[in-house]
Amino acid sequence: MTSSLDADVDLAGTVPAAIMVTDLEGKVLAANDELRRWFGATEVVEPRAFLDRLAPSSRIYYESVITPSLCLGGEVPDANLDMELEAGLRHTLWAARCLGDDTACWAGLDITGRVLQQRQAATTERRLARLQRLSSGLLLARSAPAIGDALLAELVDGVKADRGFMALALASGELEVVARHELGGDATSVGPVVGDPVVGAAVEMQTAVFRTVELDGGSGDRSEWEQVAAIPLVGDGILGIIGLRLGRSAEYSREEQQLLIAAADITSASLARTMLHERLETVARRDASLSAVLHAMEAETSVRARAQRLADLLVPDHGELVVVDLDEVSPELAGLRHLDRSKEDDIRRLHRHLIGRGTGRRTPRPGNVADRPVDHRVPTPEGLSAAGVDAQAVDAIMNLGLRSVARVPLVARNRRIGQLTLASASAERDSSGLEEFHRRLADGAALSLDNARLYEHEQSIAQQLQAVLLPEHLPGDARYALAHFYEAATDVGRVGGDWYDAFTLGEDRLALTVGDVVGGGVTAARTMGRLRTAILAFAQDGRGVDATLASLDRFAAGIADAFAASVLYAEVDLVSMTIEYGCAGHLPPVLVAPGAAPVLLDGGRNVLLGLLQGREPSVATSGLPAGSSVVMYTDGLIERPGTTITASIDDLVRLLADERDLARRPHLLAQRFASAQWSDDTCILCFTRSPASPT
Amino acid sequence: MERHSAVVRGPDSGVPLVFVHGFGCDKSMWEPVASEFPDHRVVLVDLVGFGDSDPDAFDARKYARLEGHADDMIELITSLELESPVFIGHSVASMIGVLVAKAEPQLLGGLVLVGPSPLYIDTGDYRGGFSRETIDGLLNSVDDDFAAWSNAIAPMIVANPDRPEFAERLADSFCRSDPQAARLLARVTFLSDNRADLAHVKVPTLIVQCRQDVIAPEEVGAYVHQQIAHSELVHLAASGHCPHLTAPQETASAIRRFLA
Repeated sequence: MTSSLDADVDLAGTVPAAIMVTDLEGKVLAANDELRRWFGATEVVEPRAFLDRLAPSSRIYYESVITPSLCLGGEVPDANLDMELEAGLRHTLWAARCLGDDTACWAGLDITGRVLQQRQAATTERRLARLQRLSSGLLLARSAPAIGDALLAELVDGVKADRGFMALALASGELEVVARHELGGDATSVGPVVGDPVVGAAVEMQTAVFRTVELDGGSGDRSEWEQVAAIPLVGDGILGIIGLRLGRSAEYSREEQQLLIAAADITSASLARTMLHERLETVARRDASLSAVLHAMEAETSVRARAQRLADLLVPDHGELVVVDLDEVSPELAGLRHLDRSKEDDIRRLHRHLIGRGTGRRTPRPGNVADRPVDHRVPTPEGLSAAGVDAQAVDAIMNLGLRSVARVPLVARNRRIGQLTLASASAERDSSGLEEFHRRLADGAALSLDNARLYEHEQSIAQQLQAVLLPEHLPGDARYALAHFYEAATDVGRVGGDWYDAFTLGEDRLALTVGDVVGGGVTAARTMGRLRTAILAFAQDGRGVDATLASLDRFAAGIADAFAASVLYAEVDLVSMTIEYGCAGHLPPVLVAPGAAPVLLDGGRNVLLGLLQGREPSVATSGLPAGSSVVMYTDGLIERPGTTITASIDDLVRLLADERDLARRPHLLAQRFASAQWSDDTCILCFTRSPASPT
Repeated sequence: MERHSAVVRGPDSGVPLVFVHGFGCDKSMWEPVASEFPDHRVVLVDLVGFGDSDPDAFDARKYARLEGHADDMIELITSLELESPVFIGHSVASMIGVLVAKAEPQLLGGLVLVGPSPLYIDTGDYRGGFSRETIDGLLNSVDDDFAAWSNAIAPMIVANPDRPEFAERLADSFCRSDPQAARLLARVTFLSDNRADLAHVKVPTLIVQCRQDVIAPEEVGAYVHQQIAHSELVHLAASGHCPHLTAPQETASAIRRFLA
């Protein structure tokens, strides 16, 4: 049964393990062939061969752990020792037992392969743990800087780098550092700078670059050098870059390089997710902002005020500087706002260079509306100089620190009306959708501005028309005087149809009229003009007040816009000094005579124009004592909030009783009596008989 | 006392001997030598963090400096009311002894430094025996690759039929270290620079130097001898860093001659 073991086998010589006998100090007394091979010794092994081959840390380990174990415990069950052998640095595993005569017998195995494998496994495990921690850290990070911080905290420690940064690519192609990390806390330098060629190479090749750089003053023997790593963050194009610097003349191991690249991949995905999230938020924010801006613009009615409001609303959310150029409002800027208002005057001066294409009034470019480029560009000194901007202006522009400028044409009703310029000192990281937003903003703003322009235009036509249709001057002679007051409604949305007129019918007869057409705007102005002309025509024949009013009623009945207008028509006999008058739905005039209380001339009441339907209009007559006045007016004078018309007329009569002078001075009367703001046209015509005129 | 699981034995008559272990083991390290002095009052101690010392006494801040251990020894010697004892320290404990002698010049009757080194790193003209990189590598390997060290630092049960007397006594205390304390002591041991402390030693001092000690080479022993005024340098025939283990009798003889 013991046949095989009885065989003449030299166990010590053939077993693939090193076997030796040492004294308790570790001196080799005997060694087998395998150990001799380890030591590269042919025959005799030097007594100190074993100790001398131990790596320094293993020597210390030997003296502080193995010697006590051997001397006190009598055995060493398991000792890992690093040894410098013929094959290089080897990891060896030893077991030893004392033989009782102050010697020990040892057996050792070369376990280099297993150790490396274990270390590899441990490294992989550590790497996975690190990546796992990084992943969960990134899940919590909601912004790019937070992602950068999470990444660098894990990475700088993970690869024992001295410092690192994460930079993101801006729309302009520049890199902006969003996070930095440094061991030891001195964050003044960020390691590889953004402009480092290594970083440039990594961005260009879209691949991780590891490079060893000599430090300044290095002696060339690589005693002073650093390894720089630049790992691009790649998603839909280059998202950014991670830069790390490893000092202490160390190099990134392959494992560390793999860790860096894997971490960059995770970060890229996280970054892309965050950017998508930010993009959606941006779209929502822009939508809300767009409608808020357009709505707020409506508060202004004039083009210029609306343009300025637009600029005010867009700063600072959409840029530090916003300029609204309108082609028809030059050379002054329609709207301009800078975050720092003290800079606005400078900007106005620079405007020609910064935004304008020339001086003076610009001619709107006809057509070519389909071609509406949104011009996003960053002003550079070179570009500005090349565009003919003088050096002083270039400096001033650069001093504004603007990094992105968007110029968007304002196009409304298929016509270019101007240009919107939004300039920002911060560069956009993600410009996607920005152009579209600017276009929508410009379109909405342009329509709003154009509406204001059209409205202003219409108001202006109506006011001009009204002015043209009112008498340029009133008649007058020694026997009487006429004075008038006319104020168009301040609410430009309601240009009214009030009018007044006075003309002579022969030498001794004077026609007076005050009227009010329903509605406003150009239509009302035109209607008023027609009625005034008609009165002039009907009265010329000298047919009297009743016939003139009857003709006017028939005339008005046939004109839709004149229907239900009110009118006071009167004729003064300058010889008998009597007034004959008729009111078609109009307010009664007030007679203010010396020595008597003011009275309402409330005879001659008729329905509104166009409603007589063939009936004879009623007229009334009153004497006009010397020095007396007749005050004729429209409802703009009388209408006051919270008061009935009747009460208001009574108030007017009372005022004229107290201050008779007002009957001759319509401006003063209007000032004293009318409400603060004329919400309607207000028209007053005062006839005054001269005190000295013969009867 | 209890903090250091101190063993006090022997008669009152002879000079008291306080044996203090170095890095990586505990008081059992000194047993082979201590047993050669049955005619002396012998004190064997475990530094805090090692052997049977009180685990609750460990304070990483206190023991981040060798002075922390030196203060412990002063307290112990004082509380035991030992009269002019001789402090016998191995390796790093020899520097603890130097610090004790410096702090309390009247406390000790003498110092025995076995394998002392005030600084392990080569610095300027001084040759400590190790480069900074080697020490960094060593400390890294203790930190990073602790498994290799801890399998030895962890308690080993002695089962040596030829030396049954140890087997029984050391069964539960042999070379036991708190890994955290071991790591800290390794750092303190290999990074401390105690060269300036040597000149403060005024008591008679014996420096025990082995041949071929890779941890405390001969020129370091010579340096220590040169720095301590009343010192005597003895070269043993033993080699290595642990003569008290590998050559206990020779070590004991040297100490005995010094005591005489």
